[in-house]
Amino acid sequence: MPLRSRRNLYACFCYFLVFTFSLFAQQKQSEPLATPILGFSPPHAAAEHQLESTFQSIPSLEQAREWHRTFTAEPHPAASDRNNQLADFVADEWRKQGWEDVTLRRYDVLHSRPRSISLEMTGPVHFTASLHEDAYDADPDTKVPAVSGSYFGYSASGDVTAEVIYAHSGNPEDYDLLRKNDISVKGKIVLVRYSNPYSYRGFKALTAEREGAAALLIYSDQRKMATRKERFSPMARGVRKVTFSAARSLTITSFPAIPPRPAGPRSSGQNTSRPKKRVRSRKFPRSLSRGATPSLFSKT
Amino acid sequence: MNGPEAPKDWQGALPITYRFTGAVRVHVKVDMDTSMQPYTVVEARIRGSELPDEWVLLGNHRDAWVFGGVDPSSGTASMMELTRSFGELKQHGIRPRRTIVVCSWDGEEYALTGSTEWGEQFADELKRKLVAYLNVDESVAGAATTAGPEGLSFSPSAAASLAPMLVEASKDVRAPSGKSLYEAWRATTMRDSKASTPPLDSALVETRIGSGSDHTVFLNHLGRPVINLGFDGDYGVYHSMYDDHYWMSHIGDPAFEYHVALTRIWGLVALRLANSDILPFDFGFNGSALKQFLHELEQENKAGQRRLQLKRLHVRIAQFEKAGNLLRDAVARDLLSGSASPEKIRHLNEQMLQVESNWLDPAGIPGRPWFQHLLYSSRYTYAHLEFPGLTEAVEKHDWKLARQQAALLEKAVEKNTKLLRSAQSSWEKSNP
Repeated sequence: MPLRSRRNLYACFCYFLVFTFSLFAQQKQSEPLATPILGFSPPHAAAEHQLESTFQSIPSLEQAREWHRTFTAEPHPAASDRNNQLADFVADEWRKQGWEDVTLRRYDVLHSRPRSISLEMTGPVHFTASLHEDAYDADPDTKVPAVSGSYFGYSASGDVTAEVIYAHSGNPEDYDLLRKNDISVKGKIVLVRYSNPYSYRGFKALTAEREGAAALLIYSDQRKMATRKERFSPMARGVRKVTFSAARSLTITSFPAIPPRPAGPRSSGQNTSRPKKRVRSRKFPRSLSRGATPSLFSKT
Repeated sequence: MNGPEAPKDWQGALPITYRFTGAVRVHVKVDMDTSMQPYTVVEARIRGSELPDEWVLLGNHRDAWVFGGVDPSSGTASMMELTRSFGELKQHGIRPRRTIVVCSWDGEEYALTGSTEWGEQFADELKRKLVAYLNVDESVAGAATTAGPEGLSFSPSAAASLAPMLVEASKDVRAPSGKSLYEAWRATTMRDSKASTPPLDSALVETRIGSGSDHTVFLNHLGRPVINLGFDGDYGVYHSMYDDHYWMSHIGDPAFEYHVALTRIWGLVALRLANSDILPFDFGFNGSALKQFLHELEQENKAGQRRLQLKRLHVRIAQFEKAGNLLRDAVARDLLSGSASPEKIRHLNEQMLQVESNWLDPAGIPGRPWFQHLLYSSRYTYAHLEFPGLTEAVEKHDWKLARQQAALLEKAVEKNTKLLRSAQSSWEKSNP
């Protein structure tokens, strides 16, 4: 928990005295013009510049680091105990900082998280994918058991054993090419990759569902990462020697999810509780693993 | 696998031949818990000293897929430094003129749920009071250690009416490279686009806004202008376990200087919106962005030009742009001379907020009634989408619907042009 820095307080206070006086002075007589600011009269622009330089003197690198350490200390997905503790922490800090009307608003919504997910190759050889990223020695956080395996929010539950078909990026034109090669994905498990070219993962799931696939696996291929989000910087790769990095994400296709939602009056105030089924899960099971992929290809 | 070989562009980085099929059977078992769970939004405010019923809203989501080193806790660290700083200002008796509200959202990764719930719960109040929403999801989404001498790219997006004030504010913040944020922004934009000359100010801000973060409900559903702020660069640990404090403190932003630079620009934009006499909306610039959007729509759909006349919409947008420029210049003149009465200023601010509200169509865009903004929406991929009703109709070659949508836009633009003109004439009327 960061300690409040006091080192700038005295300087700030002196600033404010000067600032208050100069504000008065400038309103009474025309002082030399400060750099104008859109929407400010000249005297107000001068006062604003003063106030902004005071503001800019307050944030500190060390404090930012401490906040970051606090918020990243443990996994904190929505609806986890840790994320709810952090809500209380934020509220407490804001009160201490002098913010007003600090309020927690609670919304009860349809959530989605894995109870258990497994992925195994049953033939021609047997292989069980871990679905967990490997710990990285220099980084103790990566050894925390609370880290989830990979999963997709709002995936349906299910149990499927079937043949695997590789469908490139999982876009409609990829299925067209499969069809040209007399390959049907009906009832099969489709394996696709992110970003070649980019398409939203929810769209991949929707497309696989439309094509009649029984399940979908998505992995990240290091070739042709289309977006900066997915591209490894050389340094990151060098430092980490990452062999398996799993993205967790959603697969629904409306953002924000809209139907179904009951109409009617809404309560407000502290701890508002409004049961609402916000999103529909997709209809078929799927999971994700990049770790499993090399084996799926190479062990045959 | 041992089936037929996949084509060249299906091949990847693994040291094997990628094939369509093979004798591989897999067992997938997924057991999901889909029970109702509580999400918690934390809100707080510093009440405005003069205009408490005009709000500037700041927000960042709290929930992460795992540790959230970049997404979202870099933004959270920047936000907590901002709230700490504003708290100190307040303790010295310095309140903003307008109310500043801050929210820690929940369930952003789960379909933007926390901010959407909150935005819907307070919809009526927000439509009346909200001046702008300033969102920060990831404040530092890139590796400063590999970004080169110009550093990470400042990559904000903003509703076009707010783009000029954002560019102006960037001149008063220092970037980690030592330059002003404005100069650093120009340099990285030039670098990233491999251009040989620095970009024009008018090209700095991305005015195309998709979805994918908590600004969505405020822009697309409530019709309030939004700004998204952040730095980015190469970032290979997206939504993985490795997106954590170690990554940030060794590779991302070891000095945490980008975090603090983001706190400063976010705070400056908030303070200017909260303290300005006249809200710093630039509808002239807004008009020029609309012109550009329409031009792009036509370029991408040349085939449909005979089926759809957009000349009238062009004219309406040009009129809107001109009215916006004239109003902006008239206001700047009178602000400089100090001749505007508080009553006139209040009235003008109301009219400016109304311009933003007028982009809402309560019927929503075709097929998606929740998305009510006529200028901005997003695709299901959450990519940006301008003139959504018109663009989607054109893409579907539904010319009847496209003509209806164009007419709807013409009407909305014309209504706002009238409002800008009337704002200008009432502003100039009682001036000496």
